[in-house]
Amino acid sequence: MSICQTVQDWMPWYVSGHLEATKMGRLARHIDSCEACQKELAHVIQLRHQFALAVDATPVPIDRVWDVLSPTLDAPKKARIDVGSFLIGVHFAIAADNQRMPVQGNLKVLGHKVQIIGRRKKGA
Amino acid sequence: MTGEGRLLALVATQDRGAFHLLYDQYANAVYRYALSILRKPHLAEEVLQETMMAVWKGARHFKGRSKALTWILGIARNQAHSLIRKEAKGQRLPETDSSAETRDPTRNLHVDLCVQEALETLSPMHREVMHLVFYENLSMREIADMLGIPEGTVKSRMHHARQAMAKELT
Ligand SMILES: [Zn+2]
Repeated sequence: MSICQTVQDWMPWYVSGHLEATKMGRLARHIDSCEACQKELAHVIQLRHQFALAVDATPVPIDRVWDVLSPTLDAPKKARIDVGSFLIGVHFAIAADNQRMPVQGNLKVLGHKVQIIGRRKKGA
Repeated sequence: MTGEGRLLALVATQDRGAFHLLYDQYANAVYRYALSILRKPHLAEEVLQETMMAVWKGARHFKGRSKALTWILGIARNQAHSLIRKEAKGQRLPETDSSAETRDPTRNLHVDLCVQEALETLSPMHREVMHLVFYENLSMREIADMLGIPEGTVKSRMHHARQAMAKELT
């Protein structure tokens, strides 16, 4: 690979200043003395600028997503109790809301799913 | 701990105010990064929502080994790829094309439409790297860590992305 090619491959990070000082210095010295790389540097700077403008022009639905997201943050936590894993072929898991008492869960017996829905508390 | 790390630590305690701040700070970056991979606004919107929910629930997992930005974008990337897999399996209904939303030239008269069109021709992985370099200003190391690829691959993806753009723009 030619020196110019190596220099040009590093250019996007040269432009953003993400290289260590010695590398920056080496690239700067080469670019200073090489017309082809000066031209390429101008291209990279221009492309980076145009790219950023193009991305900035994209509308972002910030408020709409927040309005959907925000009410879901307080979803009641489920308490999970796993009581059946010690029985061969039987898996039993229940979940209960913090606020209400109905117990929901499922019982798995030898791979067959049996749904359990507990009674609701009066007035719930 | 950095300011952004402190913000995530507060979010980990389920501080809603801190979460709102964090959302305002990173929502743009998450949405635009998702769009650079997916190109469909309704999918990018879904990624933004899922990513922020994952941050709300999992902020305690941030250990400060990377910048908060790259940690959050890493989550967004996983969400985007999981959507791509679901779409490929036909588990999601396609939404009406809203590409008009992605390209609104009246919003910024200085935007060169040729650049927008050239960007559409890039492969997702080339567009993604170009986005992380040119828009998010990430270093080669940060991108390599985020994408789980060697630095040399980041460099070569960027090389091909630039070549493809140059071809389209001449
Ligand atoms: Zn040169």
